[in-house]
Order: sequence, then C-alpha cells, then structure tokens
Amino acid sequence: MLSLVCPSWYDSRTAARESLTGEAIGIARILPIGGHLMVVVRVDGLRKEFTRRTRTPGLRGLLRSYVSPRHETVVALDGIDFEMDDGESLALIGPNGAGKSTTIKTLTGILHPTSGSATVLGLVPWKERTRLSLNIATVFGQRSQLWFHLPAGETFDLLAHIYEIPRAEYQARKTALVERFELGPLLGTAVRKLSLGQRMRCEIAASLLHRPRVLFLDEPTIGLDVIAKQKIRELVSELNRNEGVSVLLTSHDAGDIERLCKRVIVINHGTIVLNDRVSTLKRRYLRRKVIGLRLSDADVTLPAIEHTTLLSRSRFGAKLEVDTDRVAVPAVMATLGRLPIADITIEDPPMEEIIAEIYAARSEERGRVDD
Amino acid sequence: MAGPTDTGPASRTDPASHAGHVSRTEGVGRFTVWAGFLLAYVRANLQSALEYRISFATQVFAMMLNDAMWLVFWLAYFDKFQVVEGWGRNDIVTLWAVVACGFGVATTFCGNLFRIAGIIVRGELDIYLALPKPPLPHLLISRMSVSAPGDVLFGLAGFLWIVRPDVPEVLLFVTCVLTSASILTACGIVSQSLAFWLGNAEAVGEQFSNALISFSTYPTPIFRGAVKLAMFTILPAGFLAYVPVRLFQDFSWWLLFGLLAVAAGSLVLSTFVFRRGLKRYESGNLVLIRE
Repeated sequence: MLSLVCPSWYDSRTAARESLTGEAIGIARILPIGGHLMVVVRVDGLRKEFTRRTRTPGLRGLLRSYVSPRHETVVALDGIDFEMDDGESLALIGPNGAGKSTTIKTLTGILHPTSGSATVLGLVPWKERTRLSLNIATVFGQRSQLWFHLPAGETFDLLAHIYEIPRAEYQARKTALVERFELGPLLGTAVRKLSLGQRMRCEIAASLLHRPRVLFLDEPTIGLDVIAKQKIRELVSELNRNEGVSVLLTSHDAGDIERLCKRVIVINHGTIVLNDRVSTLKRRYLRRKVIGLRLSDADVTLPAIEHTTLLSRSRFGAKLEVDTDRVAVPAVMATLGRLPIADITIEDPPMEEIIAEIYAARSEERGRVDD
Repeated sequence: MAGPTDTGPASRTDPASHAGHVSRTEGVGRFTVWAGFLLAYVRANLQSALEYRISFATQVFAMMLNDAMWLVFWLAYFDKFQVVEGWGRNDIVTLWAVVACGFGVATTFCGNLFRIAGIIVRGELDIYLALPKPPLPHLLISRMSVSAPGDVLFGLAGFLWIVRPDVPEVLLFVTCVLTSASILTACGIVSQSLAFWLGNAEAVGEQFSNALISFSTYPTPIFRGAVKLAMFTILPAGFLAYVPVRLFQDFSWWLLFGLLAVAAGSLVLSTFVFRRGLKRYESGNLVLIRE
C-alpha cells in the first residue's frame, strides 16, 4: 500500500471521492503525523458502569424493593485500552454481555463513560458527538435507521439533508452505492417488505452516503442467513480495501472476523482477553469447525473420518467436530458428500468455547512461567 | 422527490484540524439548512402517513368529530346560561380553538412528543445520537401525529366561524397558538424526560399531559386556591388557556410579552432537563425498527 504525505486539507474523504471517480486510484488514505500512521481510535482505561435495581423474586420482593430499594453496580467496561490505525479493520468479539456494544456506543458518543478517555479522529466522542458524527457512521444490526413504511430511497434523501450533502455530490454518491450494493430493484420498495439481508445492505449503503472515515458496525450479520452474511462481508471488505474506510465491528460470529478483519480484540466481562492478529487467533484458537448434517434417509451409518469427532446423532441428523489442524474441511466434506444429505452447515465453535480456550492457554502459559 | 441542500458544505474540511473533520454552513445559511431539514421530515412523515390513506383520513375526521362534540356541549350550555364565571360563548370557543390548534401544531410537527419516554426506555435514542443533528429536535420532528391536523382544522374553523375575528385578532390567535404549542411541547419534554431518572415513565408522562389538557379546556375562573396556583406553576394550563383568553378580553402588551417569555423560558428549561437526562442515558439492546 502506498503512503502519501498530504497537506492537512487533503483528507481521506477527498481521496476517497477521487478514487471513486478514478482521479487518484491507488492513493492510500493515510495521513502521516510525525512520520507515524494516524491512529483513528484511541481508548485509554475506558470504564463504564451501569446501576441496576435488584430485588428478590415474587410479590413480597417487589413490595420490599419499594420500601428499601437495593442497587447493584454492573461493570460493562472495566478499563479497556486499545488503538486502531487509519484504514484498519478491527473486530471486537465476545459473547453476549461482554461489553462490545457498550464500547461502540461509547466511541460514537451515544453513552458517557464512567471514567477513562477515548478519542475518535482526535475528537472526544461524548463531548464532540455532532462534529464526530459527520465523519463516522454507525450501523446497528438490531436498530434500523431506515423508515419502516417508506422505500429505502426516501430515507437516503432524508439522510442527505441530515448530513447536509450538496445535491450533486449526493446524487453521484447514491448512484455509485446503489450500483455497488446492487440496490436498484430494492430502492423503491417499502422497507417493511425487504428481507433482513436486503435491509442490511440498504442500511450499510445509507450509512456511507456522507463518506465516513470510520465505520462502526454493531452485529451487522445478526440473524442473517449464510448467503446474506457472505454478501455483507464482501461489501464491507471491499469498502475497507477500496475506499480505505476504517472498520470497527462487533460480532459474536467468528466467521465475521475471519473474512473481514486483520486484527481482533476478544472482550469478556468488560475486559480485553486478547488483542492480536486474526491469523494468530485462527492458528491458536480457531482450530475446530462444527459440521451439522441433515440427512434425507433415516439411520444412515456415518463413515469414520480421521480427526473428526461425532458430537451428537439423531435419526436424521448429526453434528461432527473437525480438527482443522489435522484435516482440511473440504476433505471431510468430500467423504460426507457420498451420504444422502438434505442440508449441511459449517460453523465455528461458539465464542464461549474460544474464550474458554484463551483463558486455558493463558493459565497454562502463566503456569509455565511460574515453574 | 426531496433533494438535499443545493449548496451544502458537508464534504469541506476544517483546515485547522489534522483530522480533516467536516465543517458545516454557519450563520444565516444554518437557517436554510434547518428549513430544508424540517421540510424533508414533513414530506417523509406525510408520505409515511399517506401510505395508509384511509387510516389517515379516518383519524383526521375522528379527531375533528371528537373536538366538535365538546364544542357542541359548550354551545348547548351557553344557550341556557349565557355566562360561566364571567366567560361567554366566544371566550370558551377561543379557549378551545387556541388549545386544540396549539396541541395540533405541537403534535403535527413534534409527533414523538408523547413517546419520548418510550424512546428513552427502549434505547431508541441511539439512532438520533448517531446522527449529526441535536437529538431533541431531531427525535421530536421525526414523527408526525396522523390525527393532529384534525385538531388544527377544528380549532381554526371553530374560531373563524363562531368568533368571526378581525385581522388583529387573527394575528393574536396565531401568536397564542404558537405559545400554547411551545408550552405544551416543553411540558411534554419535561414529563417524558423523567424516564431518564425513573425508567419507565410513559404512564407518568401520559397522565401529566392528560391533566394539562383537561385543565386547559375549562374556564380558568372556575378554579380557585391551590388548584389555580398549580395551574400557573407545576401544571401550567393557565398559560395555555387563561392568558390567551385574557388577551382577547382585555389586550395588554405586558401580558403578551409575559406569555412569550413563559413560552420561551419553558422551552429553554425543557431542553436543559433533557440534556441533563441524556447524560444518564443507558441505551438498550432491543431489536427495533423505525416507524
């Protein structure tokens, strides 16, 4: 990748716009500061606590809570630190309740932290939220910014007003995004009539109208089928590669990180348990795949496959775990392909298991050091 | 089709900043930008409402019928008694017209007014906080009450048909409608923002709004003592109804300026309360879609 010393006014948006029109193909969106790559996200000791009212179950507990309410403090983020460079794609993964969404919401200025500091593009999100939001975009898998009853194209127009995008620039950008995200037939359809995958494509395209420099994706593939997930991953990856948009995504799907990100932060109970390259994570912890089979004939005898363990079996179904260090998934599939299969799924092990392995590996390492 | 701003600076950069942040139009240009923004929302809201034409027309008609029932009741009353605590037929019609139009204007342009508590509790503020517009005005205008234009039509028609005002009275009526709309909006924001502190405050906000409207639609002189004091303090129905009618009965510039000051002050106070509450916002993870 080329790096280019640019004057301060030559920002990534200009480069992105030029690259879109073919004016400056290949220019990396890197703004060097003092000879170093620019850090777009810097998080230092970020802590977020929520206060929750607690009570014992039942009517008595409810009445008692009125007389003597009890509160407990829930630590969502426990002093996390990390950085993200310009143009980087970084995944924040962890199980439900780990603190992923809280991190994104704090970095986009939606939540105020209890303590610690953070900057995104040099701005403090919760203090300079409006200014920051002109340069970033946030897509929530569980929250839609599209008007439910209107065609997505109408929301695009509304967003152009919200971001104050000049008319000509908006039209050019919209045309490019519609083409790239294959939204042509969808743009005139009411959002309520779109499938989840189609809606998510529209959501991401809508969030890119103002050419953000950093894209925050909170569970963008949640609830999507395999094909829709694949499409979203391809589009985000292309965006990061071609326009140099920095991507910070949260997911509890290990597949998202494998295909989208170079670096991964694993978060659990509000603390960072791993901050490393995805290749390292794959090599050390993603060494298994789970293959789910639905058979068209009952009671078929499954062949014994080396380095593959049968996890569960029913009359029409089976679950197998493949040790990918020792045998390639396509080789296993080739053997299974001879069976009367109605449906097949390939999944990564659940996040909880990956985290458990990380903890186990760490205690092992610590044990070795102590010895 | 709605289009974005003709002249907008969204992609210009701030040379003072190394990050090259986007700067926006300043000064007079901001007014044009906000007007375009508001217009775009009105258009989107209208389109959204007109997606279901029959439902839209039914709700507008039902609201006008509902308002008319009350007016018919008062007209029947004045056929028998002529006056209630010094207020005549035209005073009651003026009171109803101002409150109905004020409520109609407030909820036409701020359709989310009585839904703020729910938006806070369900974590729906995330969408507004992620966008580069102040969240309070943005969330208020992002929905239009389908039945509210019925209130405006009823109030306007009743006032013009029964009171038969001259031009200065029409101007005064418009001013009073705007102050009533502002005070109603401010009260709605404050009562609904209690959700930041109380959690589920939807019921509290709804009861407060109902009480405010109920007290606004009866002749103020029938209330006395502590109730009357409450109507000019914690439940400011007096400013919605009594002061406008007094202006029509016996106009005074001081009273008008006082009313304008109360309207402006209540909006400032409500914005302050919302902002304070926003620091306590805890978001949420419900699956939501914008309606």
